Amino acid sequence: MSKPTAITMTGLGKCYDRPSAWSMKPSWWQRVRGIPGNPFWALSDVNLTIREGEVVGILGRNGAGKSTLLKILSRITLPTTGEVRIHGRIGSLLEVGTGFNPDLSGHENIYLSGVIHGLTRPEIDAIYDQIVAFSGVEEFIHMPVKHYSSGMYTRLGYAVAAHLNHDILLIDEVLAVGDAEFQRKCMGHIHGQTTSGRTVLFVSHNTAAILGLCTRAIWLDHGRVIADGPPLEVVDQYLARLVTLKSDVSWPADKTAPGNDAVRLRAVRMVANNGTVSARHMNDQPFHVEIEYEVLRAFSPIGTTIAVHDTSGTCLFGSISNHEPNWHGKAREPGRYISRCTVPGDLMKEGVYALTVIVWSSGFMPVAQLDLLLDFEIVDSGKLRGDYFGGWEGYIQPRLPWHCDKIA
Amino acid sequence: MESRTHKADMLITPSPEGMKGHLRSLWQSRHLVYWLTRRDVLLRYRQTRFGLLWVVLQPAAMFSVYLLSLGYFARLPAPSGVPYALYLLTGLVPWLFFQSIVLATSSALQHNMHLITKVYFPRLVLVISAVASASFDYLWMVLILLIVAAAHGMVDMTTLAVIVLWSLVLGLLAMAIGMAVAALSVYYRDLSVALPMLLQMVFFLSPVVYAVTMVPEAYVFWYYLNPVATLIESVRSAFGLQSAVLLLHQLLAVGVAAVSALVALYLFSRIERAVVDLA
Repeated sequence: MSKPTAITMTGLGKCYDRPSAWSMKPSWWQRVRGIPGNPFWALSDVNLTIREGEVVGILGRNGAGKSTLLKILSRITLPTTGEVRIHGRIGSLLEVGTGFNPDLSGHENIYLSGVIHGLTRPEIDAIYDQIVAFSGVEEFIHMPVKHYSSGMYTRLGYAVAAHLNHDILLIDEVLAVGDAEFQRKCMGHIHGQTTSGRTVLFVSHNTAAILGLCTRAIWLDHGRVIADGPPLEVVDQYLARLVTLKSDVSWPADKTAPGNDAVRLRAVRMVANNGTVSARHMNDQPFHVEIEYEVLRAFSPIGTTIAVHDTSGTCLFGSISNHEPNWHGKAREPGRYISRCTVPGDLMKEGVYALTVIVWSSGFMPVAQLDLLLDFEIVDSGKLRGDYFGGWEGYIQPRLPWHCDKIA
Repeated sequence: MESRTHKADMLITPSPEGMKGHLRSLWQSRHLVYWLTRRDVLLRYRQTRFGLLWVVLQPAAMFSVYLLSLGYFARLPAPSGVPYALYLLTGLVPWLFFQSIVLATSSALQHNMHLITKVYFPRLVLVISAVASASFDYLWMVLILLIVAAAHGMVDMTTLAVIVLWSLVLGLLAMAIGMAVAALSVYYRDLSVALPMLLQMVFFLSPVVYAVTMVPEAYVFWYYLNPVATLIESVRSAFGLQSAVLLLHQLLAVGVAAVSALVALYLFSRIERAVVDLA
């Protein structure tokens, strides 16, 4: 269990001076004495131990201290307090093509970028052919990279990054920004890293990537560690703070509830597969919409409809209960009823959605229509993606069977 | 891979690493020095019509203007029957060396900000490679100078050794000034704006385009307190063209260069990390 530690951070903090309005910079004297003019703690009291082979995802909003943490670990900037002990060679990938110069050839840029990342000449010689092959720009390798297409440039930059053989890699999310193809390659590569036993620290907004890649997640907010643990738990806590969702609504048993004298709604709720009421569901798990209502007097047939809308208001799909086996088309006697609709796993794409509920009677005439009643979120568990981390076109993300045969 | 088996422990603390650690990591970064220098040298002359010829063309243009305006129009005298052109050349070459090192090192951090904010390596590497690429130009100019001087029968066994010795001191002084400016201009931007003007002042207070024999004798002692003047005249002594540089002045210039190098190294090591936070 206890693998050797790769990184130990104790009491780590970073204080920046926020320039105040009337004096842009603190005086030289203040600087020398280390007195900050208008302190802002980008990171404070961070204590973490990262073990060898762990793939750690660092989550947080903009300005939460994620990048500051990477900058300290990669020695670009010094901490204000605390210390870090690093065991092994550490490399930082904070951008694509670090040190690339447009006027130099691909060949020269590989060497330049390599030495900037701390490799020695023989080390680069050893991986040079792999880099060139991986980049797919062999023909143009002696041409200045300013004549490359942006795709070629990125591929070469990425090829260098992909072949750095540091024990510990620090990867910034900006690396994943770019065209979809590159993002896919980048994420797929990190995926490869996770199985190679290398220690990776990975900063991202992309919860799907963190769920799919990481063995551990850390949530930073206002420079402090808010949560640290299994990715699923941390991502869940993080998302809970990020968007306000509404998993259930209920009405008192009186005339204010939606409906009419014959049928009134009592509650609508979303339930996870394990029975707990929740507004957040993994995309590979089914969830249920429960509509509870009271039939007050013997009444003509009653049915329910749900519809799911995305944040732009587009209706993705709906479902009507006219194939429900027990009560569809039958007159109801008074009493409390619950209609449950199951939305299967491996159907919806990650995102925030709203649920519309309609209760209708004979002739599908609405008795109550509650538009965008509940807000819920689908979280990408990363299971369906497998080793693919690129974009996903379309409105849904169904799991469809694939089969391939060799026919000749 | 090899690096896997050999794992070094590294400690990051709020205080910058000491001088010893600095020099060690500088040695580990020698490949980087080479490639950054190569980059600078190649980029300066690549894709220009005359390529490497520019190393010579640029000083040649300045040389021609000085020769025309000061030698021909103003008729400045050169000492003891030497052609003014040759006298000018022996001063201009070391001066350009000094000037280009000061300018290159003082802007080394700003020029490479895109690297500094993305990856760590000893920042001193940038200074060293700036000095190296300026020295590369100097080598060509010295070569031409030697050829011209040899044609006038002014080169002997010791010429090269004297040039190398005093060029090293002059280069060290230039690097120290450049580094100090690089470090201080992080907080005082004005300094990098004022630098060309300061260089201009030193240029006119040094025996580049005129001979020290034109300085009133009473002031010569004070004149040579300017280490740049002493060092340029010392380089010139390789061709037997110097006028009365005292050993005292030379020792003083060496001392100034050494002390300012240490001070500059200290300032630079204090500032090299902070520069990222202010960018």
